[in-house]
Amino acid sequence: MIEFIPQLIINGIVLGSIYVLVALGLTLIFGIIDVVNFAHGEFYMIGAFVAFLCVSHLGLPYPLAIVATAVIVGIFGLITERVIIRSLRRRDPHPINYVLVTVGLSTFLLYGINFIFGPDLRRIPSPYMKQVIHFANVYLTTQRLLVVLVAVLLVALLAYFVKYSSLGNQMRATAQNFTAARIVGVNTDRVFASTFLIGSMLAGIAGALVGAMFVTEPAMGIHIIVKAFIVVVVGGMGSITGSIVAGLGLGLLETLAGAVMPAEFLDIIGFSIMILVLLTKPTGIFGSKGGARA
Amino acid sequence: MRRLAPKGVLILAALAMPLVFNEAFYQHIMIAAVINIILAVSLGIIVGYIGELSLAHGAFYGIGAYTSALLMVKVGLPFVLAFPLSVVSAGIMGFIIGIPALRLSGHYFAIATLGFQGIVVLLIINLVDLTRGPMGLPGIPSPGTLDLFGWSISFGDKLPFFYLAFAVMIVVLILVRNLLRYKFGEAFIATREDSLLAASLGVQPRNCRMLAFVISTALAGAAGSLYAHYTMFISPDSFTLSESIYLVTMVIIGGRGTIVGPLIGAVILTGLPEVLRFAGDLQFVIYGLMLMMVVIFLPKGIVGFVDQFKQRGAPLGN
Repeated sequence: MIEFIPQLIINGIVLGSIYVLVALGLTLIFGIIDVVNFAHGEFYMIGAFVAFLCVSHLGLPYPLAIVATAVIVGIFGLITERVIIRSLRRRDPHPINYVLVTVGLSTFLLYGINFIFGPDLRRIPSPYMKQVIHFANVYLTTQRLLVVLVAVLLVALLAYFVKYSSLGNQMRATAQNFTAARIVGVNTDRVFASTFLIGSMLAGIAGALVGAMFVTEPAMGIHIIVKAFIVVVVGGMGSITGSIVAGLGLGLLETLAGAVMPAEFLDIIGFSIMILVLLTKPTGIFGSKGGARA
Repeated sequence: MRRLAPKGVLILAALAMPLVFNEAFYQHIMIAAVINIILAVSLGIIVGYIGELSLAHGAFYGIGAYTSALLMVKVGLPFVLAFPLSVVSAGIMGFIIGIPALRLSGHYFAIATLGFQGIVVLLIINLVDLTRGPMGLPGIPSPGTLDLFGWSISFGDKLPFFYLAFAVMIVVLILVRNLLRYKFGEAFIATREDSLLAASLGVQPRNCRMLAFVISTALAGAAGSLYAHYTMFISPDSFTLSESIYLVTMVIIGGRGTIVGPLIGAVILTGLPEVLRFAGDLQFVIYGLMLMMVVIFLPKGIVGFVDQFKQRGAPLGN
């Protein structure tokens, strides 16, 4: 048993990296726009399908397909913000309207993709799945290493962007106080659009990575969004640090505890932790009232 | 009397429906519509009057269905006992879940109910000894037969079952109407609009929200019991998150903040799959699209849309 633990920890970090990538977009969109995007999992699912089409139909090499996926899903996020979220925001509605509209979008995309492609399980052909790295008694495919590397790279880029770039500053200003940000001349429409762009790109890339490692199917978004909610709530809605810590934590917990108990009970535990955090500290472990923070 | 007349005509028309369209297929859709009306109207109390989005209504529906089915299959209780007990057990679960969930609001309430929805379905799937898990629970008895002056009415048949479900629906509608119109409706709306202000006027927001939630979940339990004894087979698939979303869609499309709205929404969304049968899986794509369009363009749903037309001729009241 003991000798498997390093392998389990590595697997946990890989799984956690995926959770982090998906949860980051969700937490950014919540922290800055104050919208809980229930369709975020579908952006991830669409990312996997776009990458699949790029590789198997257009014949793009896998790394290039990931870049193309980021662009396409990013544009898709921009359109979502422009067409749905912005037209709703003009009316300044009750927050449940955002939940309703993104739930509708989620259903629309899930069954739309299901209608076009069918519920079959596919896998994005990736050359990295066949290369296995082996040290001591830990085995991992290059694909899994790629997941971790991409996650680290994107998280570092995002943290730098939010903290040091002009647009990042505007994002944080908007998150802290929307009205004040507008008064000092922040173009909040542009900030909201960029937030959706970044969030959906992260989800799309995560989908392109997972679709090659596990399976690409229409229902994959539903499986991930539930985990992303757990991560975002526990880490604190709007907190980047919180999502990273909670995402890796959940990934490790699932693989380590998964070795000794069935996965379904893990999900029950995950939901219970989420509800417990909502009750005791709704802002989460790293959350504060001020929205997105690096 | 004049105000009651249109309603009476509608009810009589609804009662005559299964006699006119007496094919089993149509009667099946009508029973499904009645069950969905109970679900949508009860969910409408939370969504429309308390102003919170519950994504766990399908779970309470399932709790009612499984309680009623298990009480009849394993304990051997008759329907007349199993039905009220399923209502009570769903209400008690609503109370237990309401204690934590109702402390939250807005996004957080929606996410918490999403979590409860997940937990309930996972429990149904995993408590295999009790629920038979994903295989489902077969062999649920029908509500039985009623001997009325020598007439023997078997509720295993579609027509008598329709009238049974219809009677339950009428009781539910009257109950919800009285709750909202005479006593608590204004208080519920006050807590929805501004709970601090409501509290300062002597309304107790926490109690109000709990009352609405418990009643709503208990009624979902009633619908669950009817469903279980109608289909005689239940499985966790019928009580998932997509069922909850489907119910929310009914409320929103019909028009939240009214009783008629969810009722109309339930009828439309029960009938639509039959109309859209040619479209197959595409129907869910259409629901998603409808939900988005209605939230953006018709926030008050079909009822609000119709009201707009009515008011166009009348002078503006405010």
